[in-house]
Parts: sequence; C-alpha cells; structure tokens
Amino acid sequence: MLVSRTLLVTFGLALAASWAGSAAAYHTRFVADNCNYAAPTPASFITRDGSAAVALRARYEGYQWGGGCWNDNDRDDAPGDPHEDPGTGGEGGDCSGFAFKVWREPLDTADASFHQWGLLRFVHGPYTAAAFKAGAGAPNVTVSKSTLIKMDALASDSHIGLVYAVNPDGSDQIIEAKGEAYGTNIWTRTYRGSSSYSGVRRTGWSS
Amino acid sequence: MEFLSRFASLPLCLGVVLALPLGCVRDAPRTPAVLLDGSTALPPPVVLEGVDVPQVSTRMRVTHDRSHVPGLCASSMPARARVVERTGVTGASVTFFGRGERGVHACDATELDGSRIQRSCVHAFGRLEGRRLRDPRLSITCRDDDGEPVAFAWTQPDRTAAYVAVEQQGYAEVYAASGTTPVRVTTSRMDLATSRATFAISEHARDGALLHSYDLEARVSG
Repeated sequence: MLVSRTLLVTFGLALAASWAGSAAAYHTRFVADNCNYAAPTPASFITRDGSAAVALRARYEGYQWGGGCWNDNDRDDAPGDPHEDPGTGGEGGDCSGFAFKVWREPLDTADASFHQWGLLRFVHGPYTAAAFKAGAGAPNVTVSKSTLIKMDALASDSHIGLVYAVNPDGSDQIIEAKGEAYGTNIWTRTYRGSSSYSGVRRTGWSS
Repeated sequence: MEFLSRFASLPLCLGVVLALPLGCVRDAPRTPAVLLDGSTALPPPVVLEGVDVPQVSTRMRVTHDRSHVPGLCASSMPARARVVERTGVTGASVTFFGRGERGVHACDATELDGSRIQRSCVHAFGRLEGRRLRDPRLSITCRDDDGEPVAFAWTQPDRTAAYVAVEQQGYAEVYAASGTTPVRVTTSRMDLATSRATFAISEHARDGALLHSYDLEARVSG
C-alpha cells in the first residue's frame, strides 16, 4: 500500500515537473524548419510602393519578439508565443524587425544603401523602436510628423509602425507588427497626434 | 679565464629570456589605464572571487539633476527621478525609471563632454513586469572612436549583489549595484549578422564573494 502510494506521488510530481518544464521552455520549430540566413541582395532602385508591397506580404502573418522571418500563407504558423521572449522560434517580425526588413536596410548602421531580404531570411536588424525614433543609423532621419507620407514611420520608445495611407480625417492606416495577440496587419491609428510618437523616414528612395 | 668566457654570452641569453615575455605582454590585451571620461581606471575596493583577469572599476554617480540627462532621454524623465550615471572604459550611460515605474530608460554614449553625456547615441526603453525586465534591451548602434560597435544591455543583479563584473577582452569591468535599478553594462562580444551580444557576467557580495556567474545572451528586439 505504502509502495503504491509512493509510486503515485512520484508519478504526480514527475508529471507536474514535466508540465512546468515545457511551459517554461515554450518553443516552436517555425524558425528552425523554415528560415534561412541567406545573404541579402543589394538593390539600387527602390520605391515606396515596392516597400509597401513587401510589407503587405507580411500581413496576417505572425508576430515574434526579436523575430524577422515569415512566409506568405496569411496565417500565424506559430500562434500564442509568450511575449517579449526572443527565443521561442515563432513566425513573424516584431515592430522594429518588420520596419528594418520592409525598409530594406543593411546590417551595418553606417551604410544607407538598400538590401533586399528574403521573406524567410531570419533577420531582425540592429535597431529597436527607440533607436528608430531617434533616427539612429545612416539610412534613417527624424522628420516632422506633418510631412510624413507613405512608408514613412511613426515611432515611440516601444513601438514603430509604417504609414500605409492617410485617412481623410487625418488619422493614418498603419501597417505594423503589433503584438503576439494581433500579428501583423493594417489598422487605423492616431499615432501622429500622440506626443509619444515621432516621425521617422528611411532616406534614399528612388521614388 | 675559461670559466669567465663561459659567461660571455650571458647578457645575450638574459636579453632573449627577458624579451620573450615582454614580447608576449606587448601582444596581450592591456588593462585600460583610463575610463571614457579620462579619469584613472582603478581596481575595485575588494578582490572579486572567481574573476581571473585584471579588474577595472567603472564610475557610478547617482543624481536627481536633470541636466545630467541628454536631450534624447530628457522628455522621458519624470521630475525628481533618480538617475544612475555610469562611466566605463568604452561606454557611458544614464538609467532612470519612467513615470509610474512601469518602465526603465537609458541613454547610452561612447563619447563624453568632460564627465557628462552631452550627445547620446541611442535611447533604450524596457517594460517592467513586477519590477523585472523581461528583456535586457540590447543596443548595438553605438560605435567607439575606432568605429567599432559597443553593445549595451541591462542586467538585474540579485538583491544581495554589491558588484557586477563583466568580462571584456583581457580584463573585467566592475559595476557597483545601485538598489533595484538595472545595471547598464557594455561588451564588445557581439555578432552583428544576427544582432546578438553575449555578456559574461558574475555577481559578487560586498566582500567580493562570488554569488553566481552566467552568460547574458541578448538580442536586439522590439
């Protein structure tokens, strides 16, 4: 009787430990199974409309803190990642990784040229939202919010979104990697009117 | 005479013997003599257990003076915020809690005007949950005088830790802990291709005893 009770308790503890372990080490295989580290392609003729098209391919894909790799099947293949955990291997970019890739920036912050990254190339880039907000890096400058046009950005200390279109009422349609619960999509936002947000522009567009 | 001639080549031999280690010393990483503000780099007040390389104390100053916070961060600073200024060998920073202590801010710099940061190269912001950062908020966009990138990140030492040591190339930078304020540390150990950095950290008690050591693996995110 004592032996069977001991066995039952041991089994219960093992089960609990196993559950706790898997909860603490949440991980998906999206990045491991799908993403690559291919070199980017330097590009000389880059347009804002072209970057908008790149951004739209990320629409309905997932969100991954510290991420930068997604496919184009219009769903999050790794939903429910714990937030602010860069090691879970899920699909999607975070806000700054999304902006970096859509703006086709190089890894070298002193270089302002354009680099095309494949959708499945895992890359986040060197900038946080706060760094973009400050206009850090050779390609990026801060600009007045009243001058923002398509594919310029609004950035705060903790978030960045790209202007997809301006609404007649002055609000913006922002394309952004918003969060694990939201993914990447276009939403109407009033960031332009918020004192937390600054205007940021990627320089060097061909048109 | 024959006995003396045996020692004729002694100076040459001694020269070779002395030159070998000197040659090694010349190639080895040197312990920095000064901090970024030009002040003398001093060893920490206690011997840190388990740190086997020369140690350099970083300078820490706690102030409420708004003029010590560079413009890039000033708008985020609440009135009378407690500002922790740190000056190391290659980097300097200010750290303070934001309004309502829901987040923490830093301005990082790799050049100083005198002892103060006048122009910051990046602003970092980290959200707090239960006074803990979920992410160390790595910044890799600052560069030193030689154009080499310098990485900054926060670590949150154990409450019992008085010192945090971060191993650099051939020496360790030592930071004094300051209450619950996260400690902004630097390293040159980074991989720009993956936007990651590794901070080799050890935490020590007031008497220098080793509490624990770990590698803080940080990625640029958010």
